[in-house]
Amino acid sequence: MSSMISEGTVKYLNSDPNPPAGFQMSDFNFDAANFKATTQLHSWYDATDPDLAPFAAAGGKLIL
Amino acid sequence: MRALLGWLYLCAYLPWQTAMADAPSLPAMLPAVPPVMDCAKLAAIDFSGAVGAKATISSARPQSDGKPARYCQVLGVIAPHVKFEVRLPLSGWTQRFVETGCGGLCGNLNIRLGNADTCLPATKGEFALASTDMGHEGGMDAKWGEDYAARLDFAYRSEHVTALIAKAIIEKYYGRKPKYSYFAGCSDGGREALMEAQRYPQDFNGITAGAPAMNFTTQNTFYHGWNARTNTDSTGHAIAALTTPRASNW
Repeated sequence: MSSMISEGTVKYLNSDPNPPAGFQMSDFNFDAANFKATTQLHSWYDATDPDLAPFAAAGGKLIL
Repeated sequence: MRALLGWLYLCAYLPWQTAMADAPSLPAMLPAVPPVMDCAKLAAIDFSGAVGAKATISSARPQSDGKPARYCQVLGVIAPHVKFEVRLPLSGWTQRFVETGCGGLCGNLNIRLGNADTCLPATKGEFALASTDMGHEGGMDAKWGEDYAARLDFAYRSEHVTALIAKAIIEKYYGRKPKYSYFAGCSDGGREALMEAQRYPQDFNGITAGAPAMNFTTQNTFYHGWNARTNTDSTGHAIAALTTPRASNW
């Protein structure tokens, strides 16, 4: 499961540009360069902005 | 006389007082609003303007499929490929709208209320509901991500445009906007929930984000990747195999 998720997301979602054809997760090095390569689209995918002030100002309520 | 006063206090005044004290935590009782038009006629309406993108209704018809109450089911697509479903109670709509999130990499169109499915308006079929496939079908292998528009729809756009069209359809069908709008999601649905709170603060009055997979990029690359790496032996096989069935909406 983890293998499939990580290989798919590295190949087709998180990397920009994508890794070369034939890439396998077993080729992946867990290093700073690859961290940078696979977080290029952080601002698209990651819901990590802690500023909920506009939501609160609109009267919004959140259960986390 | 004292006994009577005591009885009045316990049976009449105290519950009233308690009810008043509890009032802010109880949901507002809103009157049911009936439709002002035929379900099927929704299919002829162009909602593109409300969404800011080409929107096509593929079907609009009454359904009675064992859900708590009969509803008008509206199916459609928002350009480029965001499929959505909206369910509108044929009667008894108490002016609330709930959009539900989708787990994993989504790619399927299923309305699941999750942690909200036992609340009274849900069991009575009083909610207008909506969900989306997030812009692609199937694909836990993520190949659909070769299309950057599909990546963006999955990242944060699909749940927002679904909220926009659902609200527009509700307003047309009942002649008024929902009084309260909610988003309920778990796992990736929790990420979608937080995305709504952060990017589109006007979309929902209330949001529940269950177990949000909010740090998507790092989680899927490094956490899942390292899990797989440390569970692989020297011949490339998994050391501990998954032996329990996978949940359908994790």
